[in-house]
Amino acid sequence: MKRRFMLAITMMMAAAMVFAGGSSESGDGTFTPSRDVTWTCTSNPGGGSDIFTQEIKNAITNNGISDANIVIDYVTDGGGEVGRLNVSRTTGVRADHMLLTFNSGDLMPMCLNTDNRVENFTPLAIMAVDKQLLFAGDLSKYQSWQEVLDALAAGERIVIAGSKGDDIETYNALIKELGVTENQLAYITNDATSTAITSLLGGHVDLVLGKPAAAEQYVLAGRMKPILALSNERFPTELFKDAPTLDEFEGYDNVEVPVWRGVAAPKAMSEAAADYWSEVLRQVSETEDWQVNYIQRNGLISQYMDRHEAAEYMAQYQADYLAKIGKDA
Amino acid sequence: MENFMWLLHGFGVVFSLENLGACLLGSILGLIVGAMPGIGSLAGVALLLPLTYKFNPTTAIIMLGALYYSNMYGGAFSAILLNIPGDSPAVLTAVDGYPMATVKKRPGQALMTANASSCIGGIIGMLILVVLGPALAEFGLKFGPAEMTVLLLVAMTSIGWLVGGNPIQGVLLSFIGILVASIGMDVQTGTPRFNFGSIYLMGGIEFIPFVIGTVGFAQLMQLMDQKDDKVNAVTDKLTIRGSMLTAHDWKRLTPPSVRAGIMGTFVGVLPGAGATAASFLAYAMQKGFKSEEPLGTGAIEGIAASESANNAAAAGSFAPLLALGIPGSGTGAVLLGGLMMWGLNPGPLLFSTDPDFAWGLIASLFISNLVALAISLGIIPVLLKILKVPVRIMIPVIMIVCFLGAYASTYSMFGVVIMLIAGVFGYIFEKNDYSTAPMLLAFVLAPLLEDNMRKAFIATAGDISEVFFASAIATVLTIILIVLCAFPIVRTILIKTGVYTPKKKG
Amino acid sequence: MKGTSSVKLPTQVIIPVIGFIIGLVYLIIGMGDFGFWNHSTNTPTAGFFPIIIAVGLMILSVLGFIQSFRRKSVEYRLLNWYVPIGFLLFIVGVMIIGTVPAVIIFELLWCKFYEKLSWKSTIIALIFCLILVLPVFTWWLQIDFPVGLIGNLILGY
Repeated sequence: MKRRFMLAITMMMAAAMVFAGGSSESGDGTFTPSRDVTWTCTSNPGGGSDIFTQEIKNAITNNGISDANIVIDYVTDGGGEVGRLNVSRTTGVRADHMLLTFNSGDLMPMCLNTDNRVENFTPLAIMAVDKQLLFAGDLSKYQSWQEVLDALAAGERIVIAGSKGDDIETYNALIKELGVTENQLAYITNDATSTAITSLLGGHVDLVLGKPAAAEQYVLAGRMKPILALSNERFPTELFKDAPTLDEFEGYDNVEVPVWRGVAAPKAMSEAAADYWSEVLRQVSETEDWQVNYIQRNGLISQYMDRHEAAEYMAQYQADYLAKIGKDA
Repeated sequence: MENFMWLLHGFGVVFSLENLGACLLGSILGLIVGAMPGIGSLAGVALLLPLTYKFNPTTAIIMLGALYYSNMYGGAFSAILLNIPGDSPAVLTAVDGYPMATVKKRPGQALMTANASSCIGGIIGMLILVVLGPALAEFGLKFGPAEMTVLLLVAMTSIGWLVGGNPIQGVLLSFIGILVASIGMDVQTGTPRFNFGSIYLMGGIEFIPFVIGTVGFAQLMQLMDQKDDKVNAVTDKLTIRGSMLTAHDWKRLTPPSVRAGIMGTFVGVLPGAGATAASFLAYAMQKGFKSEEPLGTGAIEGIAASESANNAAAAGSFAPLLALGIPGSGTGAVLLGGLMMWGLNPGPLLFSTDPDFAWGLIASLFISNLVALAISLGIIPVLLKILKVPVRIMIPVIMIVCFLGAYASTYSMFGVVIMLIAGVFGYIFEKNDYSTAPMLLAFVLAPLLEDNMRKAFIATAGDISEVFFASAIATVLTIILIVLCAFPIVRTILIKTGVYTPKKKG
Repeated sequence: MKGTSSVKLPTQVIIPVIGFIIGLVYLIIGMGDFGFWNHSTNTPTAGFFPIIIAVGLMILSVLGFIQSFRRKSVEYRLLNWYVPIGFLLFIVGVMIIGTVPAVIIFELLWCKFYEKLSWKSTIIALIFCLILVLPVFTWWLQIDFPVGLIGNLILGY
């Protein structure tokens, strides 16, 4: 009796070992996912990063690019630093099944606040370039950018809500160009654009600064209206084309802080797996789903870079940013 | 009325063998996942999402809705039987549920109370959702940073109701809880704070390991005192017959459930407040009403208030999700992701573009609420067997359960270490008659308060009066806050001056 | 021996003292690193809220300290502390030999050699834990528990 139990336990242990260590690389050095894939998103659901992640996932599933079951894991603790740190430290077979939504808006605070660097990840791809707009809500006091400028000139105080990371960079560039203080044009940081939109719809802030994807539904329903494109030219899409750029107003230059959106993986991801995912993402970037439903609809610029180009690009971007804030690499 | 017609239509969509089967399966899986400490409804829904890809969207969302709902039923099980609240709303369920199961020796009734009031709360929440529909979501939008600040201040003041005998000790521990919660990243300025240079602390202290430690692990240390007792704590009444609620019990649980259900629904609609704030406010509100036994000693009213509010809030959070596309919680977000997978666009247009789907989902929540109730009532006798296990065998097994829960919720040994430290301190606090429940609630609510307060200050350029009187809602809440603060003082003065003599405690 | 030894500690006095120290540390770091109020934007800093709470905690700690002298010291029995000590050893075991072996050894040692339970009870407790660890958490819920240093060596991570 006793012996049989011990035998059973030994077998269970052996099974556990095999299960935990089950390599997913098949004999010829190519990779196929052998378990659920965890995709870490360091922003709250409903925001731009989340929509980007969801759209890729949809494109993968709908077009049968990969059979992997992708589970999106929202880790917003510590402004996202914890999620990024966890991904960078993941090892073993889990590392081959771990992806991270990684944007310029994630890289900047990471370099600013932590010692974590791009070198601790395996960049897989850059997918698109995104830009921001300013929106007024149906309850907002100001319904056009001209009204905002007039109000600022009259000494009124205006409150913008937005997300963290790159949105703050754009906001800073905007107040610098307008020549106002952060007291006249104040900024409330939220975990994601969706939270900022909530406070705009309730009439608690005057404007929202955000990327088109997160705002699209609300513009369509007439709850929000784009009033300024933070870009060098107007957005081409129907929904956003009415928003003027800043240089259409006398005495101002355009403000544009382009945001690249990419995907990274743990440093420990195997070469075979990195090639696999980079290729999956390339196929995604060519699907109609992606081009029409995401890129065109939201006025983004499609720009696929494979993992080698992306690694080089991200490293350069990081070096430039570190030099700008006066930090050593 | 029009909404009720739509609801009937929704029921028409749901009633098919396939959909009911999906509902049943979802409920069972949800109960199991919910009973696992450390695995919240979020992980449960996320992990089971792929199961639903094979179904059509309506069937799939019915299954997810059932799963989400029954999950909260499961959360009460470990809180009542083991004193390990698996998620934050269950903290208050444990406060009364565990004493009711062990001291009062009525474990079956404690579980029944939790389930019955969950069901009542859920149904009330759904009814309000149906009657008010999208208007409910608009109501939630009225709560901006200023309104949330005052509301949370009201909630925090009611910690005073919870601390029991010694207010200084209770508040002292709450303040320690708030400071521990402030470790991590500051969202407004984007800088780390109080992390003492540690990258682990930069992410802050996770709530689940913290609560498993302070409540569950500390409990294990205390249990060592009883492990050699020959007679087990509970031996009889472990049948379904012995678990039935009496007519008197029903009379006790219904009024708090209804009150908490109504309030919980509205709190659930508020941005970012969620089920924890709802169960906390409902429990504090119950302190203001008459309870047959004092709350905290195993009172049915306490379990009813907390569980009903918790489920009602879950129903309430569907209003912004469906009507505006705003997910109130991580779980809501996964559901939202599910909707997008099937090509639906949740957002301001969902009710008009996909009424079949939106009302089908609401109808399915009604059904899954009842199915979850039926199933969990059925498994109560099985669960009660846990209490027959001798304490000396329970201790090492629950130690492993604490480990699994703490690890699973953080994916790291850091969470396990936090759990252990919190457990040791929790034990020392309990030994010195400090109650830990106020600390846990302060831990959850204080970061919300700080975030909203600072947003409100930015919006008003530091003008305090503009925060407290920002709108009609804020003004009303401010008046409630003043009354709450003044009430104990005025009462003391009246007693001291002999104008008022309190009735003897009964 | 079996856990009957005990010691009286004045923790009722120590807790407010620790509370005071925590408050002081937060006050110093808060004031030093962040300040209390940002005068240029007229908004609270990252230190604003923690500093208020820290000061409140210090005041309450003083009150609690004065109060504590009216209370008796608490008696601590070694018996209760077997739980955290055992758990600490278990954690070390998990990190070295991995979760599954550590669970097996821990349950065997605790049930069989400490509690002197029958083999039947021991094995049932053990099987229950293993069912939780492997089929439920690892396989179904896909939580990867640590395999420990030795596991890492074997699996070549």
